[in-house]
Amino acid sequence: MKKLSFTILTLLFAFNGMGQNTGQTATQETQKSSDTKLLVSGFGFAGYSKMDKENSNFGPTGFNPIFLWKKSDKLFFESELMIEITDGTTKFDLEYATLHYKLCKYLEIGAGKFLSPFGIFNERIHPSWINKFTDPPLGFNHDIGTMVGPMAEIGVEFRGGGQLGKSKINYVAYISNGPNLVTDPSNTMMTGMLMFENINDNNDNKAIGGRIGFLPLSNSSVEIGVSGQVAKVGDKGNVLYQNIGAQMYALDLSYCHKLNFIKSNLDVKAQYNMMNVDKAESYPVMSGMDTTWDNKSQSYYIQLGLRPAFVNNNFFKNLELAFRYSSMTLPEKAMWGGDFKQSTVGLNYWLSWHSVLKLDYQMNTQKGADNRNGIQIQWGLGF
Amino acid sequence: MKKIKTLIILLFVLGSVIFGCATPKLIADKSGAQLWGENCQRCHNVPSPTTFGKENWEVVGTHMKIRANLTETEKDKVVEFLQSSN
Repeated sequence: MKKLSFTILTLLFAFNGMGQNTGQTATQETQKSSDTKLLVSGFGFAGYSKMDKENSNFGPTGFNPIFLWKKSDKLFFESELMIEITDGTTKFDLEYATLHYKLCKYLEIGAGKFLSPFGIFNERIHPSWINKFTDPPLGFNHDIGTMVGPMAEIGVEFRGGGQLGKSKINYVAYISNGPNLVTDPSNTMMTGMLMFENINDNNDNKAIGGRIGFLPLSNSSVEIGVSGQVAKVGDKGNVLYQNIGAQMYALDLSYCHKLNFIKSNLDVKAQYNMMNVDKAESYPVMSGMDTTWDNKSQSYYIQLGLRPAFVNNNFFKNLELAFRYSSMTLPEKAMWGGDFKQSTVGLNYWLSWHSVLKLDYQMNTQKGADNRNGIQIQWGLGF
Repeated sequence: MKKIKTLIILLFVLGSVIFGCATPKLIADKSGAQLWGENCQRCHNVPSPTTFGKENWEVVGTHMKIRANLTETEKDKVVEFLQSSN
């Protein structure tokens, strides 16, 4: 532990030195405005859906205020609340609450609850006025049992970015409570599932994770990212599960390009998540079920948006066509397992740069179940 | 514990490499307006400079630096441009 502390301190001093050598001297820092600045931002949304063989329904609807507090040039606090009415209930959650301190121009430390830097959807695209569709892709939402990869962490993160010649690189590394594995005999429906809201850590082991993003082109139009997280997920003291670990990886891609020949902007996003939980000798399950299985899950999506933003017609320049394909595969032998596919075609109308009306037609297929198709409408507003 | 050390060393190496690289003139000469256009649209529509007041752009810029992992130079230039155009 002492060696680790020494390593961290050495690193922090080294980074601080770098920042000062580049001209950001302490004096210059203090000469900038140091007045406290508070801003309430956020987003809201309201929706309607009509899926085959189901009642039409207004909802989900939600309000996500974001509180941004800049105490000084080095100290910053950000927090997002989630208040959402969906599936007949009102959900209230603290999405993130993170205190950031700038160590130097290349590195800052954050502590508290923060969005998992696991791919880009979670950190950057989830707000309703940014997401081009009425819902998240398969495997990327908050619903228990359908999350492939972490959404938020409670812990400490280090992040930063810089030029690498004409290219750019950004990086995040963190240590957090990590997920916990459901092995409770009274909850056999969820046995083998990872729960990511691990507020009170179930063991002494901490999850280690991070992401590296690389932007090879000088205009920042392409970003490729690699993320990972490793952790022990079993309950401490439970000899059957305490050594079970989980490994998660993600690949992401972002590409934005102006297509001059059709006076449009093309926006491509994609992400692949993979999650592996070490095989347990035996899970507590309902009678007649397999007692163990390969506990591997994966999900991915690719989406395209095409907006003729440069045509000379005020109506058409605010329209956007969007298409998304997503897939989620959960362990077949688990009670919560399954194979899901989803295709969504969307037509969006931008009322302003931060307000959008979305009309989606969505086709869902699940192995061994009826297809579920229908329309979803949403009004998303950022503020 | 080995994993933590590896992460820390990796961060240090990354930081050293970045710090050691000279920024090409093409990049160093980019204006705040150009960076505003290039970086905002990676995730969302480009906001108008009049959306927020001068003080608030500083707060929003810091928030965006974290969300999108902008470099410090990019954030400073974009915020300066948005404040000057306000």
